[in-house]
Amino acid sequence: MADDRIHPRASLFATELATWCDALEAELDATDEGAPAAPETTPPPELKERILWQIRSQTPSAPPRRTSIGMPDRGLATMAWALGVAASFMLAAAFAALWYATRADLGATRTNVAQLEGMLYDKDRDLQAKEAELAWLKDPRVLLALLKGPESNSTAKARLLWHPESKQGILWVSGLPPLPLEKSYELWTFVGDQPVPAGTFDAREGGATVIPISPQENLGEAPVKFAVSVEPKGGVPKPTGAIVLVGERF
Amino acid sequence: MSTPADPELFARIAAGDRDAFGLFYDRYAPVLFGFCVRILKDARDAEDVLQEAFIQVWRDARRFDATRASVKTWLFTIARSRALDRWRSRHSIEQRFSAAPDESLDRAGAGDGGQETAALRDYVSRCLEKLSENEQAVLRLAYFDGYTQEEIAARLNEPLGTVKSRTRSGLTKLKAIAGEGGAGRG
Repeated sequence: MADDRIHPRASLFATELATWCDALEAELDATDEGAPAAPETTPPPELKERILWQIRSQTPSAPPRRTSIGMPDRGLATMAWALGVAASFMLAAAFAALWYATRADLGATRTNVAQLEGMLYDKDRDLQAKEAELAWLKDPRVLLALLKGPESNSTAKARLLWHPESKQGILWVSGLPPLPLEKSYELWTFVGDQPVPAGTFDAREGGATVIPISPQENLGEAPVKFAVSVEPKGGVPKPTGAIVLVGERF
Repeated sequence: MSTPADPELFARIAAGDRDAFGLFYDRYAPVLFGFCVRILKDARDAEDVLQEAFIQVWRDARRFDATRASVKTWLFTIARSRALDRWRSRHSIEQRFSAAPDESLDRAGAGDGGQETAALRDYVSRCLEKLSENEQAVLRLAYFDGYTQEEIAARLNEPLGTVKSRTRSGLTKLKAIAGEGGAGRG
């Protein structure tokens, strides 16, 4: 390796490598019999219930072959094949008896399969949604705007991502206090000096709020300014209340 | 009443015994949760990873091969892998949003999976070259092939204790190399 150039993303790679090192060290600490006892932290009690609920309709799946944790195992392939053939004969002999014994369970098994297929479908749909979201975030056309609160509430801030073609956006908000029930926060986009309502939201106490912003069909071009004001519940067509966040896109 | 040892417990889990799985969870969840928190430094993320890891244990219990690793090692390897996946995902998003605006947009365009992975592997490989041959050997198998310590010991025909010792010393050096700027300076 004669090439000593520094990769432009070397600092990110260094962080990733250091984290990998920390993780492997932590694993050695936890699994090495000679090491001091690894620290224990009790997980929330409901987590166990959640896991047990999730496995309620599943059974451990059969191993496809004798490779469990990534080790290449071609040397056993022939033996596995021979064993497989032998097992096939044995299975065939036992099949008839098993058939009668398991007929009663067939309906339940079908139900389980249907449940699993449903779960698989849900997971697949979640995955597709997350992939679409990730693709959206990676899109270089997505614009970024940082919004800040006034001096009286300098902890309030927000980060807005905006796609100028789909005219959709996502807003992360923090530091805004919850409002009375009859009020809500309203986001405004500006093309020129004209504010256009872009959705209302409520703030969570002490936490960040993430809101999706609906497509702004009436915007002919990408907005350059954004603001958040306190408005009557449900929003109004033109701003009437105090501005609590304001910022421009980069 | 004596509690069953790991192999016995795991045999029952592989047979679909949910009570055994509950005992297994009680035995390992606290230390595994602490492990996940240590890596992720976030209890919510650690909960998610813990859940994913135990679900995978249940689903793959019959694939577990006791000749290749202990149950405990297998469990921690699963959790480490999932914790690192979670960390990468979170870190990637944090990087994108905490970067300066111009840099953020640059990164948005730079996140092409294949090239990124190849560049990272090249970076790690260069860092590893700065270690001794023995340390390189164990850490390459751990990083690039995902082998457990037991598998590395078997593959290199070395005692497990030796492999662990080399892994630890190599990790210490590797972190120092990464901390001082990594592969390009040396």
